[in-house]
Amino acid sequence: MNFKHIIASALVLSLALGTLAQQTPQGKNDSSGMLSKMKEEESVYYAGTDTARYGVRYKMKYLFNKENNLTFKEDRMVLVTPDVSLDMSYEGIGEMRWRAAYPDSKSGDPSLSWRLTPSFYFYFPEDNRQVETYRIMSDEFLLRDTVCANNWTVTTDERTIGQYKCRKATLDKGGRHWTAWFTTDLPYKAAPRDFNGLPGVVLDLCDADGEIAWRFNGLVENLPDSKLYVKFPDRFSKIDPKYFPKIVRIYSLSDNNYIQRSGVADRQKGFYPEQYRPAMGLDACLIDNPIDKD
Amino acid sequence: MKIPVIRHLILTVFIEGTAFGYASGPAPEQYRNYTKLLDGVTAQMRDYLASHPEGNIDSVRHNLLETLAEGPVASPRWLPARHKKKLTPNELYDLCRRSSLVFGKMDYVSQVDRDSAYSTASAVALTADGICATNYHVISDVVIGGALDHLVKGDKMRFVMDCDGRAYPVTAVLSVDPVNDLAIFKVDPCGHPLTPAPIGIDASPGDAVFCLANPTGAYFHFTDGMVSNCTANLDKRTGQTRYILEITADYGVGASGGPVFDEYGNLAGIVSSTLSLYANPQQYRNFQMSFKQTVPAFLIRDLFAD
Repeated sequence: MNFKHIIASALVLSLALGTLAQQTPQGKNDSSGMLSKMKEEESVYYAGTDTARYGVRYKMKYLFNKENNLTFKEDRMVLVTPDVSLDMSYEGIGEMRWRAAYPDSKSGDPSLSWRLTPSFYFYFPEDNRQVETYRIMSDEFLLRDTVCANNWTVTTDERTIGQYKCRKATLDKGGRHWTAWFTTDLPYKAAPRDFNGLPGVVLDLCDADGEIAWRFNGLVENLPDSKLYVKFPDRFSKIDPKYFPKIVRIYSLSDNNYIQRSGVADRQKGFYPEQYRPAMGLDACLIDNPIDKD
Repeated sequence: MKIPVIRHLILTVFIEGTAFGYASGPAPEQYRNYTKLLDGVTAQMRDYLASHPEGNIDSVRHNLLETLAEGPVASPRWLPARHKKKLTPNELYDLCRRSSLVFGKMDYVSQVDRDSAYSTASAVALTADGICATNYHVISDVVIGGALDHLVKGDKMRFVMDCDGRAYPVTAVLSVDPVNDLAIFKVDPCGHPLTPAPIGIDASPGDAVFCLANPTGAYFHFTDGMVSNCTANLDKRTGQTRYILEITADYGVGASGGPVFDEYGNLAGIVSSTLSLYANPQQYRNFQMSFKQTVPAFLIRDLFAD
């Protein structure tokens, strides 16, 4: 009886080890294959696109639902070039860099908030022009194209954030009183969201009620193997923008399995390395405390 | 050797004779060949498309953003009056099966150069002029694709079929609630008003309920149970609340979107999902119980307002 047990246990153990032995290199191959495919798609999609000189990373925190005291957190970044800055989610690039640095890791970057809102805020300082776009899967939507009209008041207050000397500025916008800390130690002009118009790079921004804040979380380097592309969409969706709220509601609240099953993800395969869906982002949230109250 | 053979022959003739006699006679009325009814839907839908070339699922997708309401879908005046008399299960079945619908799809299969209709889920009629309810997940491919004007080759129709085999093509999606798994859509009544189910008062734990839906391989399948729980689950990540009416009446795959009635014959909810409880959840082993999660009827009622 004992002998039978020993034989059976040995058999089970050898089978299990054999399976594990087969799985590990296969898993590695899958992971590296996926990464190389993404690189290939990336090089096609971003061909000829300018890259950022550097990026500023922020922890964004927002009390979106006052009734239930719920806070949204997202890692955002502003990519900076001499001609344009771009505020977008850091999640995609952060996850890619984590996977490249830790190919054997079974979990993702523990420092990330795991939220990705596919909203993009471009700022062209020369024209003082702000453009807001949004990507759902491979469809780009043009939401706003306006001249920046932020009437900042720059004060004499100073503080240091990281290693950068910053100056305080205030602004009344969208029914909130905002305070920004910007630096001229970093080159060019940049700010989160549509809070542009200051003569430097904003490292900290919050409203007077402490409900919304972008806090400086370090700089992001443009690496040869992981470039920070600043790509303005080649074309925009022809769907009437008045329908955008309906579309974003459907895509932000639908289960990912349903989106896969609909076939929408397949139609631009090979051209969009990041087919974002808004379900992980702010638009999936039931907001009773809008950022822009007006 | 001869005696057993003769006995066998006699027995065979007797049994087969009885069987033939039974099959050739009229079957009791309650025995219905739903598969045959569903086979007739393909021809009905082909005829419909021939006379309504714009009545296909592509136009439902294409017009989705226009037809999708942001608020109520219709006036409550269009809803039928609530039943007030308590019914026996037999009376309930006879009454409610007229409002219960088979939800289906018609595809064109290029390999065999043929289109055919088949059932995928369930639904319920809400108004005589063709407003119906099902689950969001039943119709999500049309909604998600339609929102970005993405058309699918070979996908021709969505339809509902009533218990008499009459098919009604889906012509529009009126409202979707992905959080609560609810969709309201419109069918073309094709000159035959549907039999709508009245929306009941809010069911509470302990209330008797009856499910009349189409779990795979069984059409207009009737089960009973009671309301076992009413829950409101707040997702702290998103602030969205999902309302669940849990029942003990049985159902399975294919019943999605089918009606759950109270003992008066009013709509108490619609089938949504099951949630299985295992003693070893990591390995899905040692199954213990299955929660039957349905969409409470008040969410449908809220979509009818002036």
